Amino acid sequence: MNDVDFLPEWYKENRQRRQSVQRQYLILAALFLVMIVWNSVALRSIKSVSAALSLGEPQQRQAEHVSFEYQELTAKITQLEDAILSWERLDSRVDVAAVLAELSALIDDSTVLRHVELLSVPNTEKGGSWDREQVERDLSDPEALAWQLAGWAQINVSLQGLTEKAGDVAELIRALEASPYFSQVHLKYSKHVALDTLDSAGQGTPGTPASEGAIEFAINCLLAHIDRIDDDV
Amino acid sequence: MLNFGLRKSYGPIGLDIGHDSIKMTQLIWAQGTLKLLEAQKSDVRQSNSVSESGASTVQAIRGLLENGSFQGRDCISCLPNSKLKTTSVRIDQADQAKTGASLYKEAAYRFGLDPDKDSIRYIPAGQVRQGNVLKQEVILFATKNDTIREHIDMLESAGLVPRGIDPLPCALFRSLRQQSADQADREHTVVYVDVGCRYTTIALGREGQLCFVKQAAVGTDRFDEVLADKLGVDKLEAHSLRLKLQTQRDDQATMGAGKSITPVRRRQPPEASDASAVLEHSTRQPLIDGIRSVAGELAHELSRCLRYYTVTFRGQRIHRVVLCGGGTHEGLLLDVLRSQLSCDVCTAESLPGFIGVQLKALRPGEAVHAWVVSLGLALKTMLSTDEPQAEAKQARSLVAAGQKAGY
Repeated sequence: MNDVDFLPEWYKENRQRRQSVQRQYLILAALFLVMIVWNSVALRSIKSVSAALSLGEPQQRQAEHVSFEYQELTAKITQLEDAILSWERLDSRVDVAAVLAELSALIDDSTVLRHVELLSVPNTEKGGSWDREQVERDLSDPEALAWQLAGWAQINVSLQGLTEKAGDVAELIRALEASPYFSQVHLKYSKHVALDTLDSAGQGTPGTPASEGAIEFAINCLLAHIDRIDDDV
Repeated sequence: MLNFGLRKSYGPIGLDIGHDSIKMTQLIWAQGTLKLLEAQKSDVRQSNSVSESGASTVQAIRGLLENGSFQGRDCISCLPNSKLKTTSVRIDQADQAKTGASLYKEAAYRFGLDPDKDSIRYIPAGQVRQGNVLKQEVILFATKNDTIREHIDMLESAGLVPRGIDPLPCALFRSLRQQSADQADREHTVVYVDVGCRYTTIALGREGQLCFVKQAAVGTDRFDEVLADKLGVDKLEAHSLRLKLQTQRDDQATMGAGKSITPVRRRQPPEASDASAVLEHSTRQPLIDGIRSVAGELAHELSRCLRYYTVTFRGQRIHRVVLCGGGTHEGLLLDVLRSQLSCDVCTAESLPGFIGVQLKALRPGEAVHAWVVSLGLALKTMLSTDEPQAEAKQARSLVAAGQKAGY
């Protein structure tokens, strides 16, 4: 059947255009909706993170405070440790009174000490060495000097005196060797000397070595390490 | 679109805006069968004022859309007969290339329209011999552009989306031809007559082709006007008396008193069904005379159309006249037409295979032939008219649906 239609072309075109516009509006609306949803989700996420951050702010401040305190304490501890180390380095561990007491116990009445010297020398066994320039330089820094001495130094005991007989010197050497306070005892020299006789005025008159003599000696030894001494004792 | 007979495919709403009623129908393809989805009717009386009638029409359509279960808002409507101008013209076969332009000029000349602005459509009606020259008969449809614009505005105001605006004769022909299961109706010329309120549309078609169209300014209102003049009463009273006469004739036909009277199912308004409404003989006879005179006018118009067709398309036999529309209720009209026309006259409802499904809007006893135009409009995009086989298949499915419904 042949058909006719009075619906005008302009209306059909308008309808198509309207439908196209409606489709575009729908698409735009859908996009807008998606953007709104995405935006709200993002805002919500940001808000939750902000809330979490704001909740954690006191904790952060506390943590910062604790960290600061920790750092301060660490610094103090380090300082104290340094001080302890410095003290340990400064401490030569030599009990002079005990050494003197030991010496007085070892030396009998026939022996007179004229010179007792406790001298710190480098410990050659540990590879230590005295660098004069370094020592001089470190004199301005006692702590560094103390460190250099601690552990790396040993105490050289130098004894000079007089005794009646040569055997007393040997006895003294033996006694020193036997003592746990001393080690590496060796006789530096031993010689006969003439003693001056004192008059009533206290003035001496030169005598002859043959008639009134004595044995002058010099002994060097090392002071044993205090720990070892304590252990031995 | 692939359907596979599973998906439902809704058709557009067929909107028939008459002078006394508005009818809306919608069809649906479901499981390979065309079915009636919804039908709604609203009784309105169009006023003479264009703005008032437009507003009342919009209101009525909105009400129908709200009450009915229509799917979508696409609609196919028809122009009112008063706004549509039709005529048949003949053009030379040699001027086929100039057909459009010459027809537009012809229409503009006959109807006083502007061919550049106003809407003019035409369909070929067939070849005719004029003397020794073979010419092409063409049916012209024309209307003013403003009319189309107002019609579209009215539809859009009512919330509808126009998908097509059909001439009423085309809808009438499409509806009745598709719904007839009689093979002779398809092969021979059939006259389809829609008796409306103010106009009667006459469409002659053969083998799926519309051959002739005529709009006669005679309708059911004309009956009331003539009766009012004859009896000296107003039109409303004349209308009421006419309905009483119809009721009495129907009762007589039911009792077998008048074998010559064909009972036609029709709506029965309260005033007509009143038991005390018995017409006296003095009133009855002038009523019958008045109705017969108007029916005679219509029969005369029909005779002229048949004569024109017979002369123009020589050798074509008219198989029958099929009557539909609100005027079909008038039994006397049917009698007069039968007596004056030389061919079979029947109502659309009596066609074999007519989709006489029970429409929701019908009141008890109301006929379905008033819905023919609305159904024809609803069918417009549901039928693939370019493929005769598909058309026949769809028609068969329509017929099957009607038969299944018990008609």
